[in-house]
Amino acid sequence: MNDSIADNMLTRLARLARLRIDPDEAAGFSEKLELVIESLRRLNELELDDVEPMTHADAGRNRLDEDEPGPAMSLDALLRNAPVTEGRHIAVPRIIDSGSGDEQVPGGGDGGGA
Amino acid sequence: MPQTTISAYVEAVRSGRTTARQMIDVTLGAIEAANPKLNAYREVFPEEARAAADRIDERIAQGENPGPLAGAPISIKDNIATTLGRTSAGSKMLADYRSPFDATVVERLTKAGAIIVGKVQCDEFGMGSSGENCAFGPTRNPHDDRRVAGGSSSGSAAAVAAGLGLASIGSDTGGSVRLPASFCGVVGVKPTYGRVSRYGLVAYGSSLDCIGPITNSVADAATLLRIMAGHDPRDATSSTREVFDLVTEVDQPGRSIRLAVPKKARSDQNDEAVNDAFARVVDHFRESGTEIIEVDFPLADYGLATYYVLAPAEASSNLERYDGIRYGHRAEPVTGESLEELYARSRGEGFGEEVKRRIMLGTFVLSAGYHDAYYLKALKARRLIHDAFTDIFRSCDAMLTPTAAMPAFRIGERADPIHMYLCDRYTVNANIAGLCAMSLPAGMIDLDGSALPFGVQLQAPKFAESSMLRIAQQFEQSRPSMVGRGPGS
Repeated sequence: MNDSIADNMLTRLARLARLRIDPDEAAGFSEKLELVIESLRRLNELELDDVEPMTHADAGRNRLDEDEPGPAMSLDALLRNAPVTEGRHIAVPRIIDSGSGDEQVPGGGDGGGA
Repeated sequence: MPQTTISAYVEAVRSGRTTARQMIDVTLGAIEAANPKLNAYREVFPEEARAAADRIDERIAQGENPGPLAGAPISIKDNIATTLGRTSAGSKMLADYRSPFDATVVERLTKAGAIIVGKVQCDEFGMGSSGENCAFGPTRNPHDDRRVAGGSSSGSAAAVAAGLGLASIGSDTGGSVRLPASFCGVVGVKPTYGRVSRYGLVAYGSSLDCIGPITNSVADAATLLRIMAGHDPRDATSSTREVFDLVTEVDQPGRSIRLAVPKKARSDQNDEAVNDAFARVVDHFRESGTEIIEVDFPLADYGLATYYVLAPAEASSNLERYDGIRYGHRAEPVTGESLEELYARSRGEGFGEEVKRRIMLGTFVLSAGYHDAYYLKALKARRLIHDAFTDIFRSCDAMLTPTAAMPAFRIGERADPIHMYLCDRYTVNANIAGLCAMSLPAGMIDLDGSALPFGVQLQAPKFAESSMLRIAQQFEQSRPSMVGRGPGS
């Protein structure tokens, strides 16, 4: 398999990562990324066939906590950081075609009035 | 500000020889004078800090015990949540983000009497080795302001070295506490993975991230660590292990120490001055009765490749949350644009180049067709590195290396990522294996007319903080001229 990050690869990765890379930054970006990936190929020098992958520094332990309700953060506190709000809702661009209704803000299940 | 230990300062406050208010005023004055040049602090909280100091003084006047950190001025890295001020993680993405909660470490330190004087700069989301990848400008090294402070906890190390607070809390995913500590001549500890709660730490590489203290002395690091450490139900990976009485244990003289030194630690990839300084430190340990055991550790050379697969993979997943919807930067809306385009533009505008690179890299190593060739291999290499440490620690108490292959470099000197990533070659392995590790000031290197700090790293087995700190303190006490040297002292 060809590992090179050609421009089509950059486009594909950017789409997967939901990341807009401006066309004027794309060329330099691609080149540096390629160099980094090249350096990672060092791992091919290691004999790894029979090695168990280690996903975590503390792997092998799976602790389950008691399911105890605790205080929740207030809606006001959480909404304070939202870039655009309408009433007690976070406003987002329309995601359903105009035929489906006029609401720009998806209706919340809590019945809170906007 | 006088360079004093936390315990000496707290004792002075509690005995009435000084007041918390006096100390806070001195600290705030020092910040005001030095910060425009250093850019260590992103934000300072003068009113809140003075009010907190007055409360401490009042409690002392009433005969109460305001805690083991009574009145100690401490700064917090910009990627650790505080309800005071902003928590921006060095990113335009979170430039105006105000956390609705305090990180567990902030809660614990405040409860122990510490006063949070401000938030300090860092590389964006902790991704950087120099402090230059910060949306709010690079932090400058107090020893030479043409040079970097080291990263990613750049503001933390510069603030402590310049006397702008008694200590600072940083975070370390691949060396981000130890590198700047080494470049600025202060002590920096990366605790064992799980020793300190990550609740409230802006996530970068969750299987690697650790919060740790940056201080003027080993004793201060032990004091803070004991307060910060311990189980937290809000972080499922925080350890339930009992926290040792580090302070007491650190002071205990012990049996002779056995230190592993990798044969390649004096590598030709290091600056020559680093090799010379490291050789002197090894000789010093040997002369003071430490048994030095030279070990082969060829796997150490694969740490960087392993880290730069694993950390970006985890980052690409962790940073998915920044979509410009619930919080963080949102691009100006464009008529007819889809929600997905809004995500992509918000992220494209909000993240800096290095963060984008790591997200793309992480997306690449996890993507179909490349997962087994990169990510799976790195997970396996992680096991080998972990097991190699376990073998070495069967016969040694800790491993000694330089913290970095070079002293602080000039701002702008390492523009390409590969060159920058090499800064982390000694530090990433402790995160990969989940060990505890620290950087310890070990003298100065003369370079281009500047005297620059040189740091050595100790890496020790998981949860062996007490013995690691004991070794560090013995070194500190035996070489007083080497350690805790602020630029003005």
